[in-house]
Amino acid sequence: MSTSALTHDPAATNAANAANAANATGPADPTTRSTGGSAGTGSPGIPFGRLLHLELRKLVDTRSGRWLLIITLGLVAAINVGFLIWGDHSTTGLTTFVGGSSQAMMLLLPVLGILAATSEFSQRTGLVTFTQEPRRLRVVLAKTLAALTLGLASMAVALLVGVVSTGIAVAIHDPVDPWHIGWGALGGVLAQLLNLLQGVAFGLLLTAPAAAIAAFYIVPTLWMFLTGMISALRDAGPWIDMARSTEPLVMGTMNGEAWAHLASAAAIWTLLPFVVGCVLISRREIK
Amino acid sequence: MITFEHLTKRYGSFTALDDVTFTARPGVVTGFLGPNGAGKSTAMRVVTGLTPATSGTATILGRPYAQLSNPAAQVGTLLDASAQHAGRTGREILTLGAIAVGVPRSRVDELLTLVGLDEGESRRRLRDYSLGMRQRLGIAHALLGDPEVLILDEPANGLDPQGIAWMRELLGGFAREGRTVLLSSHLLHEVQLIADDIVMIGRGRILAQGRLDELVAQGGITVRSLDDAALTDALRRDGLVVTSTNDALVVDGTPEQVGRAALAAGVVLLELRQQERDLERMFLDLTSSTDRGHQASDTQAIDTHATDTQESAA
Repeated sequence: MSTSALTHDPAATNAANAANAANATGPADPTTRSTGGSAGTGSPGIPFGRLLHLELRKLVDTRSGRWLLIITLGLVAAINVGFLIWGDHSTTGLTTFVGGSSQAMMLLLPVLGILAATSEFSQRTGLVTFTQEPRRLRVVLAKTLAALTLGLASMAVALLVGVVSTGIAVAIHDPVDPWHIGWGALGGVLAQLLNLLQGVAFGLLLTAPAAAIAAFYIVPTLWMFLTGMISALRDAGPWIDMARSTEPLVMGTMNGEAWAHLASAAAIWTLLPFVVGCVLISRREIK
Repeated sequence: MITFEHLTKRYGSFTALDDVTFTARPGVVTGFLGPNGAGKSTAMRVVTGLTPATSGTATILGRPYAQLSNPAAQVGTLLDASAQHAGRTGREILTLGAIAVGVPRSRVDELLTLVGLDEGESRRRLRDYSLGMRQRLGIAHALLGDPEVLILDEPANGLDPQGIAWMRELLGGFAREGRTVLLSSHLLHEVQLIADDIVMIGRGRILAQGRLDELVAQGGITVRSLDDAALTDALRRDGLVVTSTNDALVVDGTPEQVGRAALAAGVVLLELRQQERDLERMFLDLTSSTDRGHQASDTQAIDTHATDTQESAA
């Protein structure tokens, strides 16, 4: 079909009508400033990079956030020094230092995730944040990525501290195979990130930092006791218990079944509260 | 321009906003007036997308808030001056705002100067700010992106008289540039000082709205003459509504209409004046009658915009 055969172009007519409609309402008030093309057009909200920048900065620009990182890294340094002084001098190497540091971070990094997820509600900054970006799940995503980024950065620092400690150990104790590091270290990074994500998820679900921190440390422990006592649950243990399912991960002994255990436990302890938390946040009234 | 159309918000059986319809026009400061708990803050949270409405629509610059591109640059909001992290400094709060809106950091210093927070104050933590300082910081935060629309919830709360005068200057200038300002207050005299338009709300319902001067002028004309009976006839012949009080007539019209009717009827006038309606009394009447839980129909809704339209149509 040839468009030239048409006597008029419907698209052009529509455009003209739209322009007329705009003129009819446009100049009614001479004081109306032109809002520029940007007022209505353009994609909604703000770019994701800006959100991520904001959320990273928010994690370190308050005393609580800053001190949490200082305490975490301070503890890492203390553990390294401890191993250097009191450790078994013949075997203390990189694996020992990194393993020790990850114990401390396993305890403290989730708090970073909890604070990232709860601060908008505990400090009521949500009134500001969610008017800057009304698409709340993008804010949640930015917070999650910011917490993971800071978690990875902490682990990188811990690794660096471990390398320095190993260098010192080599110089003064001459241990056996000091630089050996197995798959368990990489598994440890994944375990840390899952643990941190679980903190974010609990924070999103409960929104009050105290409640989220308490739940994070108490509920899995209670669960472990419960599954240990009830025989019917004992067999299901690795499927539903995060501590047991991450054990082979940090030991570097993962196999097909262990991965299935891990996926199942992470779905229960991280994915489920994360998804429910996201649903609640997208529906909640921000006050 | 901010538009509320038939906006209703219910919490269970409680109706926080009941069929709210009004427009905050560009070029003027609109005062959203009502007692505590009347629904002002709820309406402001609905229009900024923080609270979902039960029914009806609220738009800013012709769009739902959530569809605005970089909304904080188009709509400056101050919903609660204390809803900021207490441990951040004023400067840090504005810096975060500048990053979010995408304006250079130099904006932070410009705005600190504009709202009168000095270098030392800007480096103090929010928890050490007085309410007045928090309000100034909140206004600076709202203005970061040079927005077209301002939505301020109780911005004058905690400001001293000097601060209120400052805010009137600031918001008046902002409106004169053709921008839109909607601010709420539970204090009539604050709104009278700052606003051009008034929207009065009680128990979630709009009770009165229109231009401040027209709302004040709705008291009618008080007239006394040597022959009230003849004057009444003359006025009624002109189609004016006349009610008589003890020693005077009250006419729903303009002084000119009454004067011409008196001239035509040859009646000597002793007094002719515009009754100034006391907004304070009106506010108390409207709000107390709703507070006592009267049926909404008891309260006569006043809408000077509506009468404007009728007059121009006639």
